[in-house]
Amino acid sequence: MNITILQLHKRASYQFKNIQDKFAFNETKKCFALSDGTTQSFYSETWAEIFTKYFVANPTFENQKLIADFTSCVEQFKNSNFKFSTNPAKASLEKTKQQKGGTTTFIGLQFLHDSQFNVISCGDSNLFIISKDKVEHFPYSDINNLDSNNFFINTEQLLQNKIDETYFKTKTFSYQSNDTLILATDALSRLLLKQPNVISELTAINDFESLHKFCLTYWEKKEMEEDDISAIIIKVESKNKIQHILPPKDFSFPVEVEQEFVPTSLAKQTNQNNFTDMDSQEIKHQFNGVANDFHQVKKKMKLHEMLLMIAISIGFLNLFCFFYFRPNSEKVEKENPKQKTESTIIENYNQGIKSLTTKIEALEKKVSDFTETKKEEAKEQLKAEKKAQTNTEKPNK
Amino acid sequence: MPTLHNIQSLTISSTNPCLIIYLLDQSGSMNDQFGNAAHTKAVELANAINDIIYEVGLRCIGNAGELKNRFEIAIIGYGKSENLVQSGWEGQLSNKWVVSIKNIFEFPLVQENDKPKWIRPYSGRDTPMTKAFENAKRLCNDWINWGNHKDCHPPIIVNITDGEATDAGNNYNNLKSQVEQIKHLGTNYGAVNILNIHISTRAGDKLLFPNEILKSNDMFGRLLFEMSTPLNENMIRLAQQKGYSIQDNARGYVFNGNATDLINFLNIGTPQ
Repeated sequence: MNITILQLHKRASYQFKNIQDKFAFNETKKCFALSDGTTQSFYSETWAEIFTKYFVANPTFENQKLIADFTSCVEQFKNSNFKFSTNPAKASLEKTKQQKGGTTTFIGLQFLHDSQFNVISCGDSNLFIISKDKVEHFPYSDINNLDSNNFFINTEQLLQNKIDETYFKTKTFSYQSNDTLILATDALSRLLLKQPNVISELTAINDFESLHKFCLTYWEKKEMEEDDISAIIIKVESKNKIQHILPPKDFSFPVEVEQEFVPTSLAKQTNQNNFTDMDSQEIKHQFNGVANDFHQVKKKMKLHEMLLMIAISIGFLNLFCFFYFRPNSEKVEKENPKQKTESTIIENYNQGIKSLTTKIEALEKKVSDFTETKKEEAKEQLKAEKKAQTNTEKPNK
Repeated sequence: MPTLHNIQSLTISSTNPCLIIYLLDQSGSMNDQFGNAAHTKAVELANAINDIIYEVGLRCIGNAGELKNRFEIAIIGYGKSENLVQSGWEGQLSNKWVVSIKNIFEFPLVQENDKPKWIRPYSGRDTPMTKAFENAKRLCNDWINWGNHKDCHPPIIVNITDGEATDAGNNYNNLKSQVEQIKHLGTNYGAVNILNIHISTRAGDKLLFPNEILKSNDMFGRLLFEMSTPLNENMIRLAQQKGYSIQDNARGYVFNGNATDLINFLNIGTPQ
């Protein structure tokens, strides 16, 4: 019997240690089990591992016995060392998940004598029996039936006796010497149901590189779901050989770079309106303060305006009074004759002074003129004397 | 129009996240009592949103407290003040429009009864629902055209309201126009989903994702029903698988219920 076990974790799990599909087999009892722990339940991979191991050690195809066996495994699951997050919000989620329990699918198979084998299934894992001229399926022969499955093995439901015989499908098959059996979890089962020609491609895989390439191809083509991929391929009459095709220890899918999506069209709006309630209150208070101050200023300005008007009115009144009550000279003269006499006297004196000044000036001029005339005459006389003297000296020569 | 990928083959994951936008009515009428309950509609709404966020968190938490960024959530509140539409996040998340589920659980407002809370109830003034949808349209458009988001689940808009928009225009034409524009946006997996949750003072008549609505229903109730997009085939398939009584042409309209059930209609990893 040639046994090949293929496993690859989904890319979102990054590392093989996070795979939630679990398998077990027992060569002595020719027994195999495959289980797919559901992503969202509590430590489903731990639960899957516990009961697949239990099943291959104690295989049974009686529904009631199997339910009792699985129920006995729940205690072991509950005693596992679970770690909870230090973040209270996340720890709350984990505790809620714990209350809901661990959930898995299950398919188990055991070879009997006389070219027969038993199979028992609960959930959407599937068996493919490939003969020379046909492919048989169990329990689902088409995708719709597989997808409509609503049966899973949940720890809490087992404890509450909510899982009954109807959850399980069992059958005994006969096989031919060249038959190949494939036990597969749901994503791979869907692909094989949809595209039976892929079966030969799958059974030809003999190393991890081929498996990796196979999964990436169908994931990229979106013909296979991004899920954990597991299969147990049993070539019945081949030489005894067990091959594990699993990711090497250093293999992991790249962790995607987390980038925060920021809606550009709404970010602008946020920037425009990014006031918190407190900010808004503060702005409102400040605005009210400014409004109050402005009101006060307006009141003061009105007061100033009134005062200014009063001042201007008083000014006009003063001006009016100044003109109206200004002193009249005639009236003053009538009212004050002594002052008039003094003025007249002063005026007479002034006129006298003016007259004397004029006379003095006239006299000064006359004196000046007389002096000038005398000087001219003296000059003339001197000239005449010189001339006479000159005429006397000439005939002697 | 490009060929759409099959949404059944899409799993919401940290590499292919989904955007959910909640539009929260915070108008004055939200201060009225909710049905027969002792609390107001605003309190009911806040509780519903806090529950939904918590539920989303449950779908994203891995072992050892590792939260996968499978969802990005926007909360848009409208009517808290006159004609005001703003981000509904508070505390450390205030002024952010879209927050990844990972960061949401890093910064809750409070922890009450061992459960985190992010949203407080508000009931303010008018109901600028058209403006809220206009913001949601811009946000969806930006998100779809960012990174690899064209290869992600189309955004989901969930509007939670109790009554008429005050800015819908004549015959609700402005509101209808915004909604129609949103319906033309989409990723390679389909058009944007619009859900309306109509909460009322009337009690005891919860209606979840109907495929038709009674003509006797009030005018605005009918408008909300017509504004809602049909649930996509994957949502209907998952809902039916999980035992919900939902018809093939069911619309995203809920009367007096909440949208916690919606999370069950999404393909998030392996179902529980």
